[in-house]
Amino acid sequence: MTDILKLNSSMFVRLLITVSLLSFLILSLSDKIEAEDNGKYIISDIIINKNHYVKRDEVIDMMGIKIGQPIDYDVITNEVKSMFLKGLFTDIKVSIDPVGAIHELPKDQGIKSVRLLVDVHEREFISSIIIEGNELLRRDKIRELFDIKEGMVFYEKEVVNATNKLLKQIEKLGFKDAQVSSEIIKKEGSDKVKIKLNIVENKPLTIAEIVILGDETIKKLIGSYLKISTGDIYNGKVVNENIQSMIDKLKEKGYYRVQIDHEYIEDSRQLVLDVNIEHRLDITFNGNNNISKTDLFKQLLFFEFESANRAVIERSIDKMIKLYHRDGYYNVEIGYNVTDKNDVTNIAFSIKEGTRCKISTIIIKGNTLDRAKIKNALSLKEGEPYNPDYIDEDKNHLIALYKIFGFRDITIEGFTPVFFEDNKKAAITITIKEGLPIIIEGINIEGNTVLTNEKLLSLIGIKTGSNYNEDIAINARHIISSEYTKLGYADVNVTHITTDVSSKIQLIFEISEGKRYTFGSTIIKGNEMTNYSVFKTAIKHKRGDPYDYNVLLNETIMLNKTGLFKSVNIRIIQRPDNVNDVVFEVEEADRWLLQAGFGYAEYVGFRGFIDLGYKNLFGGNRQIRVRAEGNELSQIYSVNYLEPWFLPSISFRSFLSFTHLNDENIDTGYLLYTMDKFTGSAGIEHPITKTLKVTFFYELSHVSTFHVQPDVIISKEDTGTLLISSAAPSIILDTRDNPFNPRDGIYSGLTLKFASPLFLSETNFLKLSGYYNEYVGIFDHLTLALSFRSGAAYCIGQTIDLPLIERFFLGGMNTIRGFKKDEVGPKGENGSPTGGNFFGLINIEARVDIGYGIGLVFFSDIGDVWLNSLDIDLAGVRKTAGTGIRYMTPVGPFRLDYGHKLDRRPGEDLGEFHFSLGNAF
Amino acid sequence: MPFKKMKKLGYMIIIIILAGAQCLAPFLARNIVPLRGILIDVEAAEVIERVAAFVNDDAITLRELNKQYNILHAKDSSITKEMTLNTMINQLLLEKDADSHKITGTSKEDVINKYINIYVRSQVSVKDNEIDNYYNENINNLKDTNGVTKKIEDIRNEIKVILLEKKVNIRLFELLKELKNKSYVRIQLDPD
Repeated sequence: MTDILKLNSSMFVRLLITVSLLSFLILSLSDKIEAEDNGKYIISDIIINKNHYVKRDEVIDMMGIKIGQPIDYDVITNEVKSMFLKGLFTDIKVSIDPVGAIHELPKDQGIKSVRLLVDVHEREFISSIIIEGNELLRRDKIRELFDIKEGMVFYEKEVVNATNKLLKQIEKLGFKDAQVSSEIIKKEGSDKVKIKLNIVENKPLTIAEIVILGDETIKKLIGSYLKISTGDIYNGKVVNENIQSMIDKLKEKGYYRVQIDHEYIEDSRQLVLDVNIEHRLDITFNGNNNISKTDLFKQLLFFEFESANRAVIERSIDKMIKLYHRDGYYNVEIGYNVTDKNDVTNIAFSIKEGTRCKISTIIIKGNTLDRAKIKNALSLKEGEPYNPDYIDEDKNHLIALYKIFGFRDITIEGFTPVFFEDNKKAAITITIKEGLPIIIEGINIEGNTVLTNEKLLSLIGIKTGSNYNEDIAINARHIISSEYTKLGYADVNVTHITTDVSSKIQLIFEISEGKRYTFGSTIIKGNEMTNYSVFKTAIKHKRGDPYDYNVLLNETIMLNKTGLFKSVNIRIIQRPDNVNDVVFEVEEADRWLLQAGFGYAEYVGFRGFIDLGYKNLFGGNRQIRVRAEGNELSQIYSVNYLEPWFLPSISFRSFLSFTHLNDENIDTGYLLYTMDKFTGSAGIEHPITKTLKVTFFYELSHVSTFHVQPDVIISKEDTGTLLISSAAPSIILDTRDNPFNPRDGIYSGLTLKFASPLFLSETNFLKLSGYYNEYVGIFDHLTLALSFRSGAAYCIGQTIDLPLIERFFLGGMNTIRGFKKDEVGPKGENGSPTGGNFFGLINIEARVDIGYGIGLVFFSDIGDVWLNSLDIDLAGVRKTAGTGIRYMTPVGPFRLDYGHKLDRRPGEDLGEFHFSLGNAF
Repeated sequence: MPFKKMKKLGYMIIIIILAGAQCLAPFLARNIVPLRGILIDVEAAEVIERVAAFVNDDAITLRELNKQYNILHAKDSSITKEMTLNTMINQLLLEKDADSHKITGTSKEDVINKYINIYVRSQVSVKDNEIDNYYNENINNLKDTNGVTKKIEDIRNEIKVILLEKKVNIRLFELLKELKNKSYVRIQLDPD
């Protein structure tokens, strides 16, 4: 029986092989692909092979292929070329396989269904660089000098070139006999390559003796400036840098035409410095009382021209006079005297500074154009020093301004300063002859085939009969260009001409539309850690969309906003078929974040924090942060997680924290209460527009409050343990131009917090709070900031009063600055603040930028806290006003504020000082 | 079902599996890629495009090579695919370097010509003594139809052009060598 089975099995196998091969041959013959027959084959399936690093969806997106599409050979060629731009592949092999087609198509159509197979062969990456054999050279220095870095694509030739370059660099560092070799370590089947650099330093060139050639005075001077010592390794670059610094110092001493050459003699290991100085200048200034010698010295051209002849002296005087003019010394006079003694030339400048003059007023005559516009165009300003050098410049400014507004025949008939008060003040009278303005009699648009005249005229909005000016025409050209660019006409060129009949003109826009371009492949390059999905959310344009560079700029902004990249660059590759491939070249940023700080603040005393984060978890821009912060009163430990891809355009945040707080009475330092709070929070964020977002968060807090001062207790929940379970939807509008120091925009939000036994909460309340902050730049250096904040809480069911930690408090550095922290509002029997269920607050600030990063603030804060709605008494609200100083930093201003009580009550202080980081609102 | 029959059926199933494995073994040894439970023989499929060579991140595809070869070969039958591919690589090297120097033109050829004029042709010159040397060295070949040696002043310009082109070619060759050294150039396929 066994023998029969054996026989049967071998026969069966042979039969099976024969049938398989035969059927394969028949199928192959019957479905032989005919070359270059565009449209004859339909893609029934796409199979991507051999891809490790790049994912299937990215390959498909890059190639722009879809199931059901006909095969077009030229398109495939273009897409292979485009895809190769990613810089990740060594080969992309595209094949069609008719054998296992999934969907058979009706034969009479003559179309065959095929599988499209794409084999991508990826390049190898450098995983690590190992440095061995170095003794005197630091490893980080070698890494810096070696052009190849970890994470780069491995090119053998580049490694060889970089190794040779490294050797040359090491030689320059004084290691003349050094040897460098590189070894490439590859593992079978791996796409990672290790590079081992073997360094043999050998004996470096050292300096045994420094010889300075020159006279004794020079030798002494050079010796004192020299930073190289005997025993140092000879490094040509370091020596040259030292020589340059010595030349600069000698120039400061008045030496000019300084030349220092150096030579290193290998046999004797001597460093020879040959110092050649022709001359020394001795410069003196007399009569300069208002401009320093240093500032005047900077105007001299002797060292630049290496000459002190008459022409150079006079040009230097011109520069000094201009410097005086800038300060308002319009009638300054400078003379000079030259004497030669030995090798020293003495140039003595004698200065008659004259009077410092300021412009008291600028009178403009003969103008119909707005006076403010004219004054704004001038370099000379009222209240500023009178500088006669600006007069010609300002005449040209005025002519240019008038021409923009269509006054072609403008002439400046007078620009006369009249001096008074002992020449300390000047009144300037400018007399203008404007001529007639130019009127637009008709508008023509030529060369447009894609957009109609009606459409373009409605877009540019210029009316016939209106005054012509260059600005209007340039703006209209910009509008037309933008409209065409949106449609893919990237080469559009719009010019304008005017044909005039006396003071009326025909305005003609000439459009050269150019070719229409569409987007082709989008290639992402340089993303080693960041998933393709991150790019897909930021890059919205699709293959075939009209090519518009502005779209790409917005996409770049979106990618930059993720914080995952150090740089994002766009490269456009023009294909012959008016299709533009786009390569986004990214350089990934550090994924780790470590921040720590330490300082001192009022009320809380010494404070510090440490923040550790990772911002590209699993390559998908997921972020996790662990933070510990503390001060003399409280400690907070938290973990924060952000999942940006929770749902399309909805991100998920979760937050776990533990807070330990000892709240003290600021005046007495007595403990008001101690609180331990565990909080877990999770929620979603959804941006509706760029500036508007909604959030929904659930929060569970376990609060233990103890050591509570009896007068702070309002409800039974204020002491002991309490579980608060709440949900809070919010809406936030943020149009600020800069979140740290806004000059324009609105920041506003509304939150409704609902705690209920439905969520297993031990307390039951509804709390509504909102804020509206607006920032308006009044002048260049003045910003007006307004803030309205209020809140109301209602207890529901058996809950009578809000728990202590949910109550509203006012007073302190960010609310009412004339008061200490939490000082405003209801108080207990011993004067401890209890907080309340209602509050209202208005802040007004005038923020003045006085330059050098310093600002002044004048503010007024008005508000109050009430225990319940019946207590609200607008007549009794607390009012403070004050001033403060700011020092700007990249993360917001450091500030010192003093708030003064305007309605001081008996027993209260006059006001309070506050020191902190960031604006109050 | 009797136990013996079941045993027999079991053996048959094992044999069929083993036979199937034997059949598939040679395919697996080639290049079979499992995907979604289907086995596809990649080599059995017909390659319609692949990368024949590349210069850094720019590919020259097989179809491009064949197309170019067909054009060139039709004009000159001595031209091989290898020569065609090398020419395409050289063109790409020059084109990319021209691009990095912001040289633009109406077509690729125009760009390359401009580039060669700026970076090759303008860098070479022919001195009078080089013309004299060339004349003296080739004096036996410089005869007119009557066998009379041409005078140097009559053919000075012609010699200058010859020497100039020679120098341009040498400089171009050096430049291409330099560009190749700076670039990652790889020929993937044996073109012939």
